[in-house]
Order: sequence, then C-alpha cells, then structure tokens
Amino acid sequence: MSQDLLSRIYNSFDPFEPLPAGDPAYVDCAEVRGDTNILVDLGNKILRSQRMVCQLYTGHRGGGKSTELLRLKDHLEKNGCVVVYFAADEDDIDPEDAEYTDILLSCTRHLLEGLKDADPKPILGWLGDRWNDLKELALTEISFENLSIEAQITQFAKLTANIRAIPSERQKIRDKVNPHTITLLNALNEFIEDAKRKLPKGKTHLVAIADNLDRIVPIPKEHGRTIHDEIFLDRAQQLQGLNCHVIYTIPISMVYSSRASDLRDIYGDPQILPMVMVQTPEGQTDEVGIAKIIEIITKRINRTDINLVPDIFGSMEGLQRLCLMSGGHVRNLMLLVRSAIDYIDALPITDRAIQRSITQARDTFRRTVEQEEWELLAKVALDKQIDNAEEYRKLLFNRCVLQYVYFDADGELQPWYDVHPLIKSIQQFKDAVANLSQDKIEQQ
Amino acid sequence: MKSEAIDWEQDLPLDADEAYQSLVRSLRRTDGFSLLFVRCSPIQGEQIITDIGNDLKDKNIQVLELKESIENLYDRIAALDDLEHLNILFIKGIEQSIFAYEDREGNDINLRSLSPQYGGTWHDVPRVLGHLNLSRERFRDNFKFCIVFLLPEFALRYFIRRAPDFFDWRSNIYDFPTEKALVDQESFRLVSDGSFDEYQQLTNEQRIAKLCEIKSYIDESTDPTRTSELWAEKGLIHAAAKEYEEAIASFDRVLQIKPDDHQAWNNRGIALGILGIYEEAIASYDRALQINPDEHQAWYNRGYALGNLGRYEEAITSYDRALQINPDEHQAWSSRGYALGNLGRYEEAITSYDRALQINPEDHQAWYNRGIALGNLGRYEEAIASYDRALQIKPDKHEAWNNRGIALGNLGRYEEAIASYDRALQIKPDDHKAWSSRGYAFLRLAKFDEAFASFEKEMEFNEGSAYYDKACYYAVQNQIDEAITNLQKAIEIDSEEYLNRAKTDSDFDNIRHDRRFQALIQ
Repeated sequence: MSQDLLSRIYNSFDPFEPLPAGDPAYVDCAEVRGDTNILVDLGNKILRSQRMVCQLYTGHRGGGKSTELLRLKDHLEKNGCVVVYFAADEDDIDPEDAEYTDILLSCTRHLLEGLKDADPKPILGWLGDRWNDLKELALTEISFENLSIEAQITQFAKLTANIRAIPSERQKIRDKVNPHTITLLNALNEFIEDAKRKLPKGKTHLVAIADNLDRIVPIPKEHGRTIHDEIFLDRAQQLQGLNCHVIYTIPISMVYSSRASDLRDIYGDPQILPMVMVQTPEGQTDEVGIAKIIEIITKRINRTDINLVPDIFGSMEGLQRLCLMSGGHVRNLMLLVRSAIDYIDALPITDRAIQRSITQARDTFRRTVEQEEWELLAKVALDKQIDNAEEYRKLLFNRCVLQYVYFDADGELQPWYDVHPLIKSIQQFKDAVANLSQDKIEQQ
Repeated sequence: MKSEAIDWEQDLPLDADEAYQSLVRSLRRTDGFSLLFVRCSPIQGEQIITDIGNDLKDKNIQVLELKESIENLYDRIAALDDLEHLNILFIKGIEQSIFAYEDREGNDINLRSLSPQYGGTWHDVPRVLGHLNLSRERFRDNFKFCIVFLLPEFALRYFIRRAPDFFDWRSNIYDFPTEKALVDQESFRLVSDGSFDEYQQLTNEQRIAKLCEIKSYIDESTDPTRTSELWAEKGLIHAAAKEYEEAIASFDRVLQIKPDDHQAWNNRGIALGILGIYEEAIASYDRALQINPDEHQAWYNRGYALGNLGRYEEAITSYDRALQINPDEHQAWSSRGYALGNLGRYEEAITSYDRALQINPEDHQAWYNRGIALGNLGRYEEAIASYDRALQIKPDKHEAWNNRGIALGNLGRYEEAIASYDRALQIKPDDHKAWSSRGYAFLRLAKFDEAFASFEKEMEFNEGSAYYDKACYYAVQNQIDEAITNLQKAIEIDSEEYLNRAKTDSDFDNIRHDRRFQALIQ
C-alpha cells in the first residue's frame, strides 16, 4: 500500500480541527450519548423562547463540543438567527488569573466585530469616557475623539489585548475598568438592541456562543473555591445580563462543584455532552458504541475501495481494542490512531502497533494521576458514581474519570461515571482496587 | 502478514531506537501543523536534532533554543525567519521558563523547590504555559509546520497538568528511555544505609501510614535536628516510591534547617537528576562537595549528570575525583569508560572498563560497552570475547547477541554470526536490524533462500529497509530488474536514506553501470 495513502490517513486523524457543520466525516452519536442532541436541547430552547435564554454547555475536553456547537450555529442560522460564535483565545482571557471582566470585554469585542451593521456609538461612548484614565496607562497618546469609528473599534480590541500584553499594567487597567462593568454591560446591551432592530430580513433572533471558556485553568482561591466559582457563580447575574441569547461553554468540573445546585438554580440544567458509551456500567463491551466509534474511523479514512480490516487494521480484535481504549472520547481516539501509525512502516496497522499506542497513552495517565488519587479512582471504578467534592472535579477535569449516560429500564436517563479504560491496566490502580475490595470484604 | 498474538494487559514500551524511528515517521508523514513532545535528556536531544537533519534532508529544519525564561512562545516563533518554508521546528529549553516561575514562587534561589512545585502542582500556572493553553488555535492557524518540544520529564509533567488543552493537540509523545534509572536508584541506596531498600518494600498502605506517622512527628517535634532527620526520612520514602518532586521538597526542608547537610544536597541532586533537571542536580552536588569534598558518591553522581548533558570531559574529571577518593568504585570506572568512549578515546575507555571489571567481574554492562569500544577499534576477536562475558552474566541481553553477530560477520565467520542473530531474535523477534544483518550473513554465504526468508521476515517490521536489502540481494545475483524494482520501492518509502546508501553500497557494483540504476540514484 502506498506511503501517500498512509500519510493521508495519518493527517486525517488530526486532533485539532473541530468538524465544520455538514462535514461528511461527522457521525451522529446521539443514540450512544444518551440521545443528547444539541439542536433539540439547546437549539429549540432558543427558537421557542419568548425571552432571552442563557445556557451552559459542557463536556470533556476534546469530546466534540466545538464540533457540536458549530452544528448548532448552522442550525440556528438556518432557522432565523444571527449567530456570533467565538472561541475565546489568549487575547480574551488572561492565562494566569482570568476575571469576569475579561469575559465581558471579550463578548463586547467579538460582538463589535461580528455585528457590523449595528451602531457602535454606545460602546465607543463608554470607551471615550474611560479614555483619560486609560491614556495615562500608556495605552496611547492620541485623543479618542479624533479617531475614525473604525480606529475607535480597533482601540477597543487593543484595550483587551493590552490587559494581556503588559502584566505589570494589567491590574491597573482592570482597576480602572472594573468599577464600570455595569455601565459597559448597559452600553453593550444598547448596542445589541440596535443590532436586533437591524437584523437582516428573515432573521428574528440574535445568539452569542462563547466557546472555549472551559479553557480557563482552575486556580484555587481562598476558602476552597476556584477561579471558576468566582466567574460563573459570583458573576452569574452579569453573565445572564446580555440582551440576546447566550451559550457559554464551562469546564465540566463546574457541574460537580459543591455549589452545583446553585449553578442549576441560576442557569437551569447545564447541557452536558457525555462520552460515547463503549462499555456498559457492568463492564461489558457495548457493541453499539463500538460500532459508532468504528464508523467515525471509517468516515475519516473515507475510502470505499479498501477494507477497514485487514487492509487498514490488521485484525478486528485490535481495532475493537483500540476503540474500547478510547473511552468513547473522540480526541483520544484520534490520538490513538495517529500514534499507532507512528509505529508502522506500511499498512495495515498491526495489533502490536496498537498496543504500543495504548502503552504510550497509558504512560500519560500514569504521569497525570497523583499519588493520593489512585484510591479515589478505585472508588469510582467500583461505585460508578462520583461525589460533589473538589478532588473528583479534578479527575473529571483531567479526564481520568469520564461521564457516560444510559437509559435505564424505566426509560430514565442515568448518568454514570467510570475511570478511563486506559487507567484500568495500570499497576497502581489495580493495587488500589485490590485494597479497596479487601476493605469492603472486611467491613461486611 | 501474520502478527503474533498480543497480550493486551502487557505494556509494550519502546526502546530509544524505536522511539526515534517513530518520530522520523511522524515527521515524514505530517503535512502542515502538528505538536510533538519528545522526552529526552539534553544530550539525547542534540543527537536527535543531528540525526533528523541527516535522515530527513528534504525537510527544512530550524532549532529554537530558549536560554532564558520567556512568557510568550508564540511571539518568539513568529519572529523567526523564513517561516513559510519551515517544515520542522525543534524547541529546546522551555524548562527555563518553568525554572524562572519556580524561582518566583520559591524566592530563595538555592531552595528553589521550597514550595512543592516541581512537576506542576495545582497552585498556579507558569505564564508561558497558561499562554500556550489559550493560544493553541493561533498556533494551528498560523504555523504550518511540526513543532517538536524536546524536554525533560518534569517539564513534560508540567505540560500535562498545566497546559492540558495545548498538550491535548499533540500527535504523540516520544519517550527516549535511558538506562539511568537503575543507577540512580542505586545511588539512593548507597547514601541511606539500607533504609532505602526497606522503603522500597513497603506496600502502598504501609507507605501512607509511615508518611502520616512522620508527618505527625514533624508537627510535634521541637528539636530542629530531629525535625530535619524526619524530613530526610520522608524524602527517602518519597524517592523509593518514585515521587521525586515530593522528595525534593522534603530534602529542601532538611536544608532549610541544616544548610550544611551534604547528604541532603546529594540526595536532592539525585532526585533532580532522575527528573532530568541536570544543571540543577549539578549545582546541588556542588553544594554537597563544598561542604564535604571527600564525598566520592557526590563526585560520581555529578559526573553522571554531566555525562547526561554531553559534557564528557568535565564528567571524566568528576569521575577522576571520585576515584582518587575511592579507587574501588567500579561504577565510576565503568561510567568513566563510557564517557571516554563517547569522546572517541577508545583505548583509554577500554583501560577504564578493565579497572571496573577487575573490581566487579559481574558488571555485564561494562563487558558489553568494552566490546563496543574494541569493535570500534577493529579488534573484533577481543570484542567477541567481551560480548561473551556479558552474555554469560546476562544471557537475554539481545543487543550483545546482535553486536556479537556483527563482530563475527566482520571476521567473515558468518555461520557463527547467524547463530548469534538467532539468539537475539529469540529474545526480541521484532528486531528488524537483526533480521537484516542475518539476511546479509546468509547472502555472503550464498545461501540465497535463507537470506530471502530473513529479508521477508524483516518486511514485517521495517518495509523500507527490507526492500533495500532485497534490492542488494538481487543485485549481487545480477538480477537487475528485481533489484531495480525493490530499490525503487525502498526509495519511495525513504528517498534520503536509501538513495544515499545506494550511491556507495558495493552490493550494487554489479548493476551500477545499468542506465536504470543510474537514473534512479540521480
């Protein structure tokens, strides 16, 4: 088999591009993700609602959130919405200590850039009022009034970028801006109102989707709280205060904080994208889930003239093993296939190459888990449940524990949790399970 | 193609050569952006950059060496010249930025790891990593080349824990194992009067119980000497469980109380060395040796760390100091030989191995390395004798069987060479180099069927090399068509490697005049 084909397959399993809406490689996994359908769950709420809705979306890193959100954007646009989707990046969020202000400034910047027809005057007016304060912080010497409208808009982007660029100035800029977040929010809403008045024909809703907010690294704050609590709970009122429909992505660990019920009270139930169920809670291989994963692989390879087994993969057993070890997590799957190809000179991908790829991925988990966490992991593996405690949030955040859902006998949707299948063969984990089972026997 | 049954519970780690091969494949196949992480020592890193340069000549390669702490890697890369033609960018020294971060956290430059930072805890984020984590889209959208991070173990852990989203976009991790772990563990054992052995035997529960006990003693203790002893013990318990970050933090607590505790400086150095933080380790040994210049173990460890940085001359000086104090330290003689060999000073290396083996004739690694040095001098008979000694002690050392075969082949003793390769392949059936060498040995004996079978087997593990070998096989038999076809296939897989080899390989002398051959190697 030619090297070109191998290279093409290798490059098609890239871990870093979310699929655009309508991409032929997309596989609808709703039935093995507990019938979660973003178009119905988040989309319809927006399309049917009379008032503005603010919703949260979450799931494991690399599980397919951005791909789903891009589908949602497409769906909403086809149903009379103007959608401003943005993936918050390093110009928006401070890598060391993000604050609510960052998110507000970020939303403002992206809406300003995305809604060209609306009148930016309210926002620019706000910036003009702050100008004298900010000028002192060496932002610029020029006078604001003399700038063209375009240049004024650029200045706004610069303001947010400068907060990031000059660490020493960061706090000073924030100190100048923070007391005025309420007026900024009002100005932004005025701008949004104008944008809504000027919506193109056939468009009735305005939606903002803020992706990537789950990228904020959890930093512990006083009293056992994290930076996530400070942003998503303490500032919930402001986050909900935008005059358009909003969807924020939040870290999955937020949903399991000690204040998870507060979160629910404020935003309603957050929409979670669970992993593709490749194993049942009883530890049996789930054939439907595995078939979905194989479908994902097949669509990525996108060649009808070659057999998946034995031309691409040496054996069905090896392929299934690989699917199982992905934990039903899409990016993990991409990574496993990619690294397996690193271990062969020519197709097919042998069992040996698959096991090497699994070994390497397992090593990463060995490096991730900290000493005291093995016992917690053993507990999750036995109970298939987690507690609302900080230490479990960390395990969700770093994907050592994955969330799945299934329908029970009564047709009720049941979330359950399991340790990542790659961890299950690690010696420290096996020891911890043995210890725990021993304890249980002694207690009985 | 048949592949052997796999035990899915059993890990299949790669050796350094296999890790290198997989890195080459990834770099060759990637079209555009990718992120690769290579865990290696600095000296291995140098070697990797050189080797990749030789093996992938059609790729445009740059190296970005970070000598000081930075906050924004993106801007540093964006400022490089000629990015539009770049295929591969190696980045070394990202750990400098993590050091600087730890300095800021720890305040005291000598007690850098006072807060338990090494390995990335959950307190804070080094700015450079926080930035990477948020800017991955920008990397993907604007950099159309492979970015290869060369980093030590501790820095890799930092990426996993503190830049998880950036790290999540990797294509793979390439782990270059060293044979160091064994020796490093040994070093702890030597300084701990046996307690290290004892700690290694503890079960996980016993360990935790012991740590809790020590912790409670520390909390109660009012006597600083006692407290520092407890910290030292805690450090060793962590080291025995391979929790080196915690071990370092504990040794630092000892040094806070007793800055002159050379033992603690030495132990701290060992733990740093295992994490691949060699410069810091050397600084730590230097402190130990300032306090007690007679500590031969510290001189030895210092030499070892220097060797890992490729600073072989300095390493030799350090070993010499260790041996002045204790001439019976066979490890030091052996490692000294290794350093000399790396400098191409093979005669001296052999003398050094001889000293090591006088003291400890059971050191199979010394016998093996001695064999390599002899082979490099063309003294094949002696090399074989040296490999034989290594194999008496450690019969499953497949590298020794392999090298023994090569030495025998160099003497024209092909039958014996084949027997030696067979032994190597019994132990490691996927060693494509052994299959290849074995095939050539048959070829030299004009046993063509067996040669063919061997190259056919090689095909399972390395197609490019197997096609090339088959091309040689046909060429020496004057079967020009088949030779050309196979050479073509090899070149299709790796044009650099096989074109260069074909240009000078005497196996092709029969067909060198052929116009098709001429056209192929143009």
